[in-house]
Amino acid sequence: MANEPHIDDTDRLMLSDLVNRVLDRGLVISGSIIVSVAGVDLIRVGLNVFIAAIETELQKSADRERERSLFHANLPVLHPPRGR
Amino acid sequence: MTDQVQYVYAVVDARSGVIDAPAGIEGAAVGLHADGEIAALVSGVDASVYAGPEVEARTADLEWLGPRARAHDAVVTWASDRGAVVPLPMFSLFRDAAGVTAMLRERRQSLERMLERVRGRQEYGVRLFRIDDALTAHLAEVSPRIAELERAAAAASPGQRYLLTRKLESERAEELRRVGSDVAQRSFDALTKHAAEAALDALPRRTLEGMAGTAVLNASFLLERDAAEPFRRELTSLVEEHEPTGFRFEFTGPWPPYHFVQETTDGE
Repeated sequence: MANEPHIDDTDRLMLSDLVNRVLDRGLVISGSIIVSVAGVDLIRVGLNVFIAAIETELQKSADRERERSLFHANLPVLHPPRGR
Repeated sequence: MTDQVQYVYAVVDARSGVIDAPAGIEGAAVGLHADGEIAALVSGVDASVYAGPEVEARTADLEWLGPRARAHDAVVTWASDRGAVVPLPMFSLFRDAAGVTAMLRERRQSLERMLERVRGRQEYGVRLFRIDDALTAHLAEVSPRIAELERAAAAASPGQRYLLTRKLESERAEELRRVGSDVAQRSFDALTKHAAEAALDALPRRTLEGMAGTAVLNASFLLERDAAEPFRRELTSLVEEHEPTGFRFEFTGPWPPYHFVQETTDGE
């Protein structure tokens, strides 16, 4: 029981990391060929809104789907066990 | 048939296959839209959902955004596991297939350069947090100035001790910052030696309980596949050196090269 909130927090932070990477990173294509909403390239729409909202949204999210682990894919766990 | 627009996840080599690609955004099939040697990974999506004015409100909603972000990342990660990939941000939408072709043609040289830049490489993230309570307890070990003040305070008369203790408190705050940025810089330099490229990001704000500490480093590293092991060893030794004295590392990856596909100004 005592570990539950900790796991949730990690999940939320991982989702936050993921969302920030896929929304905010990568090659930004700009130009007339992009669909646009009210003259703004859709590629950028929502990002500012999202960043402002994410911290509070994350607190509410109860998403516990498997998330990319902090120590994913062939990389052994680096941390010693954390004291609580 | 609803009106569709083309959602582009990433650009890859045209010879890539998509038969074993994971499902895309909202479960849509992922297709390969090739033009010459390069290709876009695309899905057709409902224009009324993704190209309407309401999408801005939806992207503030993590319940809506989360599954789509995961699907986007799953497609890009799948591609990254199989070859070179230039990820595009979520919601990179084109009116139709002709728009995707035009994008690939207009940017062919730049896209090909980026594919070569990331080929055989993957991204890893390292964050470093300063845990002030723990670091304060060890500060004298890493700061001669604090060690000297602590000795002086211990040896002082009660009247002097009060003043020295006040001075110690203010010096400690400054030393925490200095030691934090020093460890961040040394860690970044040590890890960068193993990386093809490295990038610094804005420091994250962390308010969630259980994730203590003040961020002092948020870095991404682009590693050759055979550099992952030496990189991990370097990181392990940094963890062993610094975590006992008030630091905490976070390590994530491998990621697709999200941080290493900015367009360079030459040639465009």
